[in-house]
Amino acid sequence: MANIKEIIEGIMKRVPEIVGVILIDIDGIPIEVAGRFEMKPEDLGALLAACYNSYAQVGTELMQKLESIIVEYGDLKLCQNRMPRGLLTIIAGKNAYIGMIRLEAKRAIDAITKIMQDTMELRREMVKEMKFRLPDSRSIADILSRFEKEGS
Amino acid sequence: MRTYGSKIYFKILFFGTALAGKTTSLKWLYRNVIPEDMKITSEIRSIETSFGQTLLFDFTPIQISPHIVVRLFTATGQDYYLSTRRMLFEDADGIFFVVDCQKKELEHNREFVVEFRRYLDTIEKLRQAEIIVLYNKIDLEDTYPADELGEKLGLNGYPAFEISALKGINLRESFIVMIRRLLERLEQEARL
Repeated sequence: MANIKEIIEGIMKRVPEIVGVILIDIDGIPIEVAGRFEMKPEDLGALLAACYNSYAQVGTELMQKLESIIVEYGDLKLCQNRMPRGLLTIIAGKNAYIGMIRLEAKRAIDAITKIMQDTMELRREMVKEMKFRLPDSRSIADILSRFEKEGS
Repeated sequence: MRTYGSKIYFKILFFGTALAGKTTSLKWLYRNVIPEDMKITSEIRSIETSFGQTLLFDFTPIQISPHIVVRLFTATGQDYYLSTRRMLFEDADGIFFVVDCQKKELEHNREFVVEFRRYLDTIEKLRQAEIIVLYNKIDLEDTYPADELGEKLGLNGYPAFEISALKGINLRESFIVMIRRLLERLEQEARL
């Protein structure tokens, strides 16, 4: 089974008009990014999440469930789609067909949803696999001492 | 707390009335407490109104260790943007409740306490969040002492600091307490 990175990069390979794909969690944390962005993914993720959540609230007021957001800029189109635990945003040139973008988004969402695990389970799994070490008292003290020293 | 890729993400939110000092607190911490190598972005991202107040949020992520990112947000304090505030509370791991100690702000603070309790009642995960109250503007005249204001607002059960966001009084200390609590929670999880 393809991983999330492969799925997202696959979209860009299949549709040349697509210039970027960003997968964020519902809170804006960047999970996977393909394509080049001037902005840091963390920044972009926070903005995209804010946009989506704002429209979702408008939908709530209108008693409508938000399915997707399509934005047209001067030279770009942006399509943002909700998935069970995140948001998939596809950015394409202005000549790209929206129908094609939506189709790619739907396929990707179906595939990614199957892959995404519960984050707590993932954290435990990663600790077990020693991909990272959770902080102990000593490393906590080291981090805090950086804040104590900075600028003082 | 969320885990993606090889990173754990914490979210800390500054909440409080309009002009209570949320953005000022975040900016002071960003300039004076957060080491340059921890800053992921070169500046704080702000979504502001045309007259310079926070419309949606201010935001900056910091990487405090190779695997831990802390995302710092401020929520708008303007009442007419109330509907956008709730979304910022989702998944918050730490909350700085910034209270304006000026006596004239008492009723406004009360309204925000009511709103805050509503979020606590309706967002289950928020009950596990670390909450620290920052009593701001203690250096101004005609203010309540923290204890008295905490009692009036029903906030005395939370850890608290008297601060001046403008001068940075006690901001570093409060930030360190917040980060320590979040990291200790993670450490406890590792023991399970």
